[in-house]
Order: sequence, then structure tokens, then C-alpha cells
Amino acid sequence: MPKPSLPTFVTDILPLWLVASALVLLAGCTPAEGEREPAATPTEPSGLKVYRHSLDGAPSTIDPVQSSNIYANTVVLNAYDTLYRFKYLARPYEITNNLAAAMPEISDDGLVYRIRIKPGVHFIDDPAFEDGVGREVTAADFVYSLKRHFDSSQRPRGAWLWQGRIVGLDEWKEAGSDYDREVAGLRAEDRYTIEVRLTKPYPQFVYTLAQGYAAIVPREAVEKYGREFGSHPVGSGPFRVIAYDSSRIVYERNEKFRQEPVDLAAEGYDPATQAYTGVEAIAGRSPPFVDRLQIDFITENAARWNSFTKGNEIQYLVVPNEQVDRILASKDPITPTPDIAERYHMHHGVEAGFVFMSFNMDFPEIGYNDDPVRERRNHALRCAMIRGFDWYRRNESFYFGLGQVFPGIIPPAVPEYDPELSRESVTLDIEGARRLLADNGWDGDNLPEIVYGAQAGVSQRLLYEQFRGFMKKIGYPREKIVLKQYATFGDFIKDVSQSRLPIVFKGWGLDYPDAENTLQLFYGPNGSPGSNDANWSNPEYDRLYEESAVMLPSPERTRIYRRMNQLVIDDCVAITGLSRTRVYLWHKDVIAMPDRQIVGGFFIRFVDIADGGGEG
Amino acid sequence: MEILQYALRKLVGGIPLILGVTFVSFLLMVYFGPDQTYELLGKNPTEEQIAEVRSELGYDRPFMVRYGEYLKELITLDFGLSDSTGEPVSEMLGRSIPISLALIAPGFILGNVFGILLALIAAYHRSGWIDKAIMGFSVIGMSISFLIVIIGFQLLLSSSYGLNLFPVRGWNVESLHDYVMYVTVPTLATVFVALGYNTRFYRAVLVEEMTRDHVRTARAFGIPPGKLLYKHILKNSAIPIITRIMFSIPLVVPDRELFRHPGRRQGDLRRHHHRRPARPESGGRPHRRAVRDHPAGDRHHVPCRRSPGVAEMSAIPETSDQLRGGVDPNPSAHPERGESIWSKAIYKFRRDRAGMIGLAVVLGYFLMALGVWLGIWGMHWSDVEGPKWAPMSAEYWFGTNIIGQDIFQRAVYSTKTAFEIGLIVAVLSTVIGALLGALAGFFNGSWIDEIILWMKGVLDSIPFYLFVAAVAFALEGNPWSMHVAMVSVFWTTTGRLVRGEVIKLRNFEFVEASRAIGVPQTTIIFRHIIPNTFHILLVQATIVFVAAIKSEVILSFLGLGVQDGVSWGLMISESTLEVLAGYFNNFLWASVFLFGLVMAFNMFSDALQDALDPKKVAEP
Repeated sequence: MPKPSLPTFVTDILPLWLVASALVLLAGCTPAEGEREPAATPTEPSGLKVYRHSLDGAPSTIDPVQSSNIYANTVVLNAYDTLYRFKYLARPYEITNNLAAAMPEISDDGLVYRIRIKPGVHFIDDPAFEDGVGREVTAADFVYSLKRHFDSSQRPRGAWLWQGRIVGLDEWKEAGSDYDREVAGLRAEDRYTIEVRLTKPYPQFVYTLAQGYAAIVPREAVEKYGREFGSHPVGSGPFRVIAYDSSRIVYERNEKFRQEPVDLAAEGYDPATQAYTGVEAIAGRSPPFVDRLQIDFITENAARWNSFTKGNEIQYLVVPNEQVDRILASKDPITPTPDIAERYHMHHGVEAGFVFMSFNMDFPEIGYNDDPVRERRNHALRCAMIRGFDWYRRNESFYFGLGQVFPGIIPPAVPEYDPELSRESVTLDIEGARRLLADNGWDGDNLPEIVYGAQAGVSQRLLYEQFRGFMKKIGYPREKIVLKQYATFGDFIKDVSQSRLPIVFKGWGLDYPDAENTLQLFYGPNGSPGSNDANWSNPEYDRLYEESAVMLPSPERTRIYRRMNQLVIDDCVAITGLSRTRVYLWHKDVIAMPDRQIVGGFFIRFVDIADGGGEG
Repeated sequence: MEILQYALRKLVGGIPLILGVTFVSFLLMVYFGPDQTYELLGKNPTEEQIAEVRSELGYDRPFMVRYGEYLKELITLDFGLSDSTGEPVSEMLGRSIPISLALIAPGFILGNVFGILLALIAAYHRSGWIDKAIMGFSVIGMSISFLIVIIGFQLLLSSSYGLNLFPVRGWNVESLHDYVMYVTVPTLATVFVALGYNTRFYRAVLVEEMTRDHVRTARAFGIPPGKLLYKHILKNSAIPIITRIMFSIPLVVPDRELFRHPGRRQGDLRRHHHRRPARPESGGRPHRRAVRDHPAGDRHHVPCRRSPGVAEMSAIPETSDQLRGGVDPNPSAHPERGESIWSKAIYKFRRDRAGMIGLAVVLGYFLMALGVWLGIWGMHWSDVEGPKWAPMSAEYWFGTNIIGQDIFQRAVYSTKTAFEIGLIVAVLSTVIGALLGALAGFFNGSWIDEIILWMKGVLDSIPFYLFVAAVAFALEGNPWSMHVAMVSVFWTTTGRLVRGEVIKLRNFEFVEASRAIGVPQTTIIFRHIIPNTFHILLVQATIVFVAAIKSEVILSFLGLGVQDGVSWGLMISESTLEVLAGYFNNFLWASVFLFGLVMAFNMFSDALQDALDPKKVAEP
């Protein structure tokens, strides 16, 4: 019998190995336990309308009580109902009723809110319910859902929105979070009526009810699934989740979702600026319009962009910064290149939020100091650093020159923004900064060492290097601005919360379109571990904050807000700020008017696919 | 019954190792690991809420209680629920592991198959131009960072800059076609990187086999090449080949992370990693030498130049029996006097053209680094004076990066960083490896030996990048965390080699004589034994040097590397933002600088190893 030679080895043994590898791969193809159904693919069964959305980060959970970021909020709002939502097309943003039958009835003193919810709305079918059939959503479900934020066993993250605001709720928590005990200020008056009693007027209260945190969950499901509820959503939103992991979430249309024909005018439709999107096609029809929704979580910009341009993968994205030059023919006004305009729809808007850098006043080297002379010198040092910060280059380098630089902490996205405010605090003045340092006795030898904390990562590192470069130009020695890297964002926030970093650079996304949400960032009592990273405490500011916090929007309240803004600028407590401009692109067959933040998760129910698109 | 006793003895003997591995992984990855408290808190948390979350996470419990629970989870395989999603961790693992395997298996298998085929061809044409060409390509393959290969392949095959043929991400596999689409790019990248290492290793094994008498005899009888290679060479080399493949298997899995395929939530990596069960001692990272049982029963060391790094997905371990009984039955193959080794080695090295070129290039780089140390050039690496993404010009030779820094200045300055890391890690791990290896070898069989072997076993049982990441977490913000991690790991190979050598040396006459005339033990070790292992140390130091530089690139990319200053790894990681916008200067120049040094060092190190190989030196 002939012995095998080398070619036999290749033909006989190699295939065996390949078969072995094929066996391994078959194991990989089998949907693992826990994955309820396979994911949507570009080749869907024919006739299904599929929309593939994308996010640049992944939520770690889809439990409403933990929906603390934009990603979690987006996915939660598509699976669950909230009492209120933002109008699809209205800009500036406007709130409207969702599960609530109407806007709340508010008592004259602003303390009692009565909210009626729509009858006949049901949760999706789930084994958690009797006979597996979803029961009707009631006022008691809302009460239960809000109480969860005051039960530490649920690991809630949204309690700050209502802490000290609702009569008896904090006490209910202290007494052990017993759900069968009633809370005086948070009751289901009847099956469809909710009554909330506030401890003091809270004009932003309705906004808080449009957040994922306030989404309505059934108690049965929370109790049945325990901690696993975070990956097993049971809601009454427009879609129901069929698969979820770290790379994507797949929903199917919730067939039980209430029928509410779209009234475009009521949604704030502006034909002059929005007709190109084709949204008129949805008028009079009830959302959701797609049969299947898939949201891909793609952190890497390159991967997201490539997936979008492929044509048969994701159909929407927020354009990554590094692509902006390639897709725009002009930045002012923002105009796409002919090629992009031909292939995609585009929209752009200033973010509801901003990036800024706070000086931590707890550090005697740059902030408050027992020695009044040194404290004055520290003030000069901070002001010099503000003057030496080149917002123009920061914008060019990281935001492709599209960001909107503004003085203070009231960003352009809110109605209280003041376009007339002096821009001195955001204008580069290297000579002025150097002079200020010299006049106050600062030189390369006696300038304090500053630790710049950042989560490990390319962008963060470049932001740091640029900051260090800017400071070098005003005479700050390179080796005195030291980077401290954190392996995780949590570790970074830990040091920030414990007031261990002298400067903190971060971004703030608005929870609701009201400047109160950014002004609270400098309110004294919100110092570490709260969100006042500057640990700045100015009696006048704090008094004005407390005064305005209970006021409804009015010219007087705007005047107070602006005064507070000026105090922050005068005291040189922050290098601020810039609101990023987002450019959105979506495929031509998608009928939509996207938004990333405030409308966020709410817009997807209105997305439709033009005939011939998205179908297999 | 005997087998049962043997198995029991082995099991009980493994307990200290398992305890060691679990203790180190608990300490680094759990106790000093990332604190999730603040990620689970909302805005404006109160002190009370912080305490509640800490208590929920169990951070307020005593150390030993937490370690006990950790052990319990490992023993019962009940890893509880994920801290972030609340899903059972075992379910998440069940979902992600098959995908990992499906993704990595083809590249792993093909890398080995092609490696063996090329090695057969090279070995058959030994010293001919085909052999030289294959080996040349192997060195080139080994000198390109895995990171560069991944970025390159993705750009080439999956982006609109290239062919745009394959999906970029995801895992929606419902047919063989889908599978091929998803797996092609990772497979190509893995094969590309593994091929160089595999070919070299297998060639060394096969060449060793080819020098045997039976092969010579078979050739004399005119057996055709195919049959000769398959029957007489490949089959007889099966043991080291299979051993290498088997022990590489545990090392391939983490590579999947670099391709970002799903199945695992990022927030849960910690839970997965810190609960990774212990592997037996032999499952460590790649070792430099293969030990092979010849049918005749003697053991030969097969030289195989390898360095630890992501690209190396194979390991040939020594069994503990081999470690303990490492006395070479054929000591005459080794020189007995240092002088003869060194003079012959220098002579031989100088005749190695590739080695000399490598040395010259390394010296060139060293001069560049020296210039930075002395402040002659590369001083403006941090300035942000230039425009954004300036093209190459007389003013900016290599252009500028996104924040207007001069890429030439940064590339040059990075040479200093590379030498600092390479030298510090190489010197420290060699010194530690020499000391501990010498102690273990000299006191072979005693408790000192056992402890050192135990330490080595523990460190070798934790995957390298996981270990470094854990050290970086534990020493967060410390500029030396990367060096500490690398030294902690890299000394073990040197230690093992030195230990084996010392076990031989201590039975030599000069050591016996020293003992007989009452020379103190420390003097014997430091004056008489360690100097006789210098040839091993020198080669090991060069290998560790290259390994350190290449590891730095990956670590800096992962954000675990250089804290202050700049390095090629950081430049490559920066460039990932830029290549998308069509600016390649940062990526290109950092890659060229890195490749040049690694390639030159590989050539230098190869030649050095050849020159210092005792068997070859001893040849007339």
C-alpha cells in the first residue's frame, strides 16, 4: 500500500482540520440559551419593514431605574411608556402627553399635580403575568415605578430627580421601602389617576416624567425576574425586545401599542425646513411604522461609518468628527457635498449640552485659600488659564470647527441663552494671560503642579496634550501639568466625586431643556460628591439658585439665570464652554427626522421606511 | 490503583498553584480592580447612597470574606449575576464563548497548517534561497505589530478606503456564507501574524529532525521528497508540534477582543476575567525553547526564538518532570569554559551579515535615543504649534497630527521611550530571572526551588495581557505599572532557562571543587555559576527587549501603557482617529519606526543566538 506523500497530507489531513474547525463554528452559529430569537439581518423575510438605528455606545442595562445615560434612555423609551414625551418635530423642544391623557392639572400653588392616564393600554404578553397575557397599565404602576428609585435594592440611579421633592417619599425609603405602604405625596387616586404632592414648587417636574427613569414597569415582572429584569424588559412601549446583547438590541413592533394617528401640526412640523425628510407620509397613521427595529451599539467611529456606508447595514448615524471634512462642502452654512446629498438625508443641530473644565476650589493651590492674598493670586491664575485656553483650536481639532463656543454655562440649546453676552471669557489672549500671571507674582517656578485626570483613551489623551500645549504658551511648564489616567470612567468619577482632582474636564448632557439643569452644576450644596465638581460656593449664586428653582419660566427667571451665569464667569471657576454640533445622516429610504438627545428615543416610533426600502 | 494515587498526588500538588493563581487574580482584578460604585450612582449622590451601593456590591466586607466567596464561585462555577446587567454571568459566558471559538478557530488552524507547510518547504531547502526567503518573511511578519496588522486589514478589506468587501462588525450568522464573511478578516490577520512565529518554530523542529541518521539513510536510499518529509520527518516531529498546538489553545481566545465581536458586554469583562479558572502550570505563555522526547529517550533543546506578545499564540511548556530532571545526559555538547564560548561567538557573530546589519541599525536607533536623552533633538514633541494635519513639508518632515504636534519630533522622541522601556524591562527581568533561576537551580529540590517554581507557575498561568491590565488597574495612574507588569511576567522564562543551566553547572567539577575547599554558597552562585549563564542571559535580554517594545504598543493602544511622554504605540493609537479622515502620517511613521527597530533587533538577536548556541559554538 503506498504511503502518503506530502500532497496527500495536504489533501487528506488539511480537510480533517477544516472539518474540525467547521464543527467549532457550527457551535458558534447556534443561538445560545438566553438569546430568545436570532437577530435581524440585512436579509429579512420579505415584506417586513426593518429600521437599523445606531448608537455610539452601549447601555449596560435596560431597566428604567438604571437608565442613566443616553444609550440606556434611548433603548428604554422604545420598550416602555412614559407619561410625557417630547414632540417629534418641534424645535425648540416641546413636551406633550404620552401615556398621560393630557398635560397635568397643577394646583395654583404649584404643589399638587393630578395626571390622568389613558385607559386600555396593556403591557406586552409575558410569563410574569397571569396566563402570560399582559394586563392593563394603571396609575398604581406609575407609583410603583417611581418608588423603585427609593429602594436601594433596585440599584436605582434616578432618585436625584425627585429627592426631597415629593411629600413622604424620602421617609418611605428610610422606613425600609415597603411597597405596600402608601406615600402621602405619590398616590394612585383611582385606576387611572395619579396624584403627586410636592414639597415645594418644581417647575421641571413634568420634564422628569419624560425620562427613561420615569418609565412604567409592572411589579409582577420586576419581582419575577429580580436582577435579571435589566435584560428582560416588560413594558407597554411601541416595541418589544426580542434580543439584546452588548452589540445590539432587536425589537419587534408591539402589536398592542395604542392606536394614535399622527397629527403633524401638533408634533411641531415645519414644512419649510422639514419637508425634505418626507415625514408628511406618516400623517394620520398610527406609529410604530416599522415591523422590526434594530439598534446597533458601535463604539468605534470607523466601524460605525463603514457600516453606514455599506448600504445594507445601519441606516442612520451621528457623523463621527473625523468624517465631517469629507462629507461637507461648506461648514458655514453646513452643506453636504453633492455626493452625500444625493445618497443620504442630512440634518444638523447644536447639542443640548456642553463641554467645559472646572477648577476645583477645594484645592488651596488654585482655589480657596486661608491666606486672602494667595486666594486673590489664585483667582488671577484661574483667569489667566481661561484667557490662555484656545477655544478656536479646540473646536477645530476635536469638533471640526462646527461646535458653538459660548461664554458661561447657559448653552445655546436652552431658551435662556444670551447671544449678546460678552465673549471675553472665551477669547484667546495669550499676552493678557502672561501679564496677569506676572502681575500676580506667578512664574514658571512657583506655578502649582496640576493633575489632569482622564479616563484612558486616545481622545482624552489628546485633549490633555492640547490643554498642556495651550498652557505652555502662557508660561506654564510642561512638566507641571500631569496626566493621571483612569482605567474606567467609574474610577475617574470616583476621584471627581471625592474632590481629588484640581481640574475636571467633562461634558454635560441636559436632562431637560431648562438652564436650571446646568446652573445646578455650580450650586454650593451640590458640591462633591454631587455634580458641582468645582466645589464653588458663592452665597449670592446659591440664593439666586434657590429663588429661581421654584419659578416658572418668565423674563424675571431668565434675568436671574443670566445673573448667575455672570457670577460664574467673574469668579473664573470654569473654562467654558462649547456645545457640539451634531450632524446626522440617514439613508434616503428612511422617513425620519432624527434627534439624539432630548427627543432621543421617542423619535424612533415615528420612523417609516419608504416603499421598496428595508424590505427583503 | 497506582494511577489513582498518582492522580490524587497530582491533584493535591496542584492546590498551592491554584490558590496562588486565584489569590493573585482576586487581589489584582477584584480587590484592587475597578470600583463600580460611581458607575452605578446617579447624579448628585449623597454619602448615604454611596454607602448603599458599596454595600450592595459587597465592597464593605472584609478581605478574607470576599476572597472566600470568590473561591466559592470558582468551585461551584456559579458566578452569580453581572453587576451591570443583572444577567447570570454563566449565561453570558455560554453565549460568548462559542462565538469566540468560531471566530478564532479558523485563523488558529490555518496559521498552524500553513506554518507547518512552509516550514516543511524551508526545512527541505535548508540554507537555500527558498529557505532564506521564507525565513526572511517570517522575521518581517514577526516584526510587524499585531495592532498594525489589524488596522491595516480592516482598512484594506472592510473600509471604503479599500475593497470594502467584508462586514466591519457584528455577528449575525445564519449561513455558511455569513460565517465566511464575518470570519475572513480576523482569520487573515491572525494567520498573517501567526505565520512568522509558527514557521520559524516548526522549521527549527523539522531541521533538527532532518539531521538524524535515519533521515540521512532514507535520503541515501533515494526516498522521494514528499514521502521523506511526511513519513520520516513530519511524523517524527509530531510530539513538539502537537504539544505546541495544544498549549497554544488557551492563549488564542483573548485575541478576539481586538476584533470587537459581540456576545459579551464590555462592562462585564471584569467579572469574566477575574473569574477565569486556573490553568495548570504548564499552560503559560510562550516559551522560547521546545523540549522534545526523542524515541531514543534523550532530550534535545530545540532553539526557537520567540518573544511574548499578542501575536504569539503558542506555547511549548516544560513539564515539571522535565524541569526537575533537567540534567543534560550529554554535557559534552556544552562548552566548559566561558572564554571559548565568547571568543568563538564574537567570531561567528561578525561573520553573520544580517546580524551585523541588525546591530548597526539598532545602534543607529540608540544614537537617536541618546540625542533625545541629551536634549539635542526631539524636544518639541509636545508643542501644539503646528496646524492640524499639516502635510509633509520642509517645516514638518512627517507632517503634524490632529492637534498640530510635529510627527517627526514625536517619532524621534518615541525612540527614547522605546529604549527606556526595552532596557528597563530587559535588564530587570534578566537580573531577577538570573537570580531566582540560579537560586532555584542551585537549591534544586529544596523548598527555595519549590517556592520559585510556584511563583513562576502562578505568573505563567494568568494570560499576559490580562495580568498587565490587572496590574495597571491595581496601580492606577502609576507611570511604572506597565514596567512592573512586564517584569513580573518576563523574568519567568529567563528564570527557567537559567535554572536548567545551573542544575547542570552545579554538578561540574569546578563547582564541586569550590565546595570542597569551603567557598561560601553565595560566592559559588554569584562568582562561579551566574557568570557561566551569561550567554543565556544575553540572548534572553534581547528577546525581552523586543517583547517589551511590542507589548508597549498594544498596551498603549489599550490605554494601559505609557503615562507621560509619547511612544509609537500612543502614536498608532492616536492615528486610529486620523486614518478615518484620510490622514495616514502618524500611523505610517510610527509603524515604520517601530518596524525598523523590531526587525533590526530580531536580526541582531537571531545572530546572537546562533553565535551563542553552545552546540553550534562547540562545533569546530
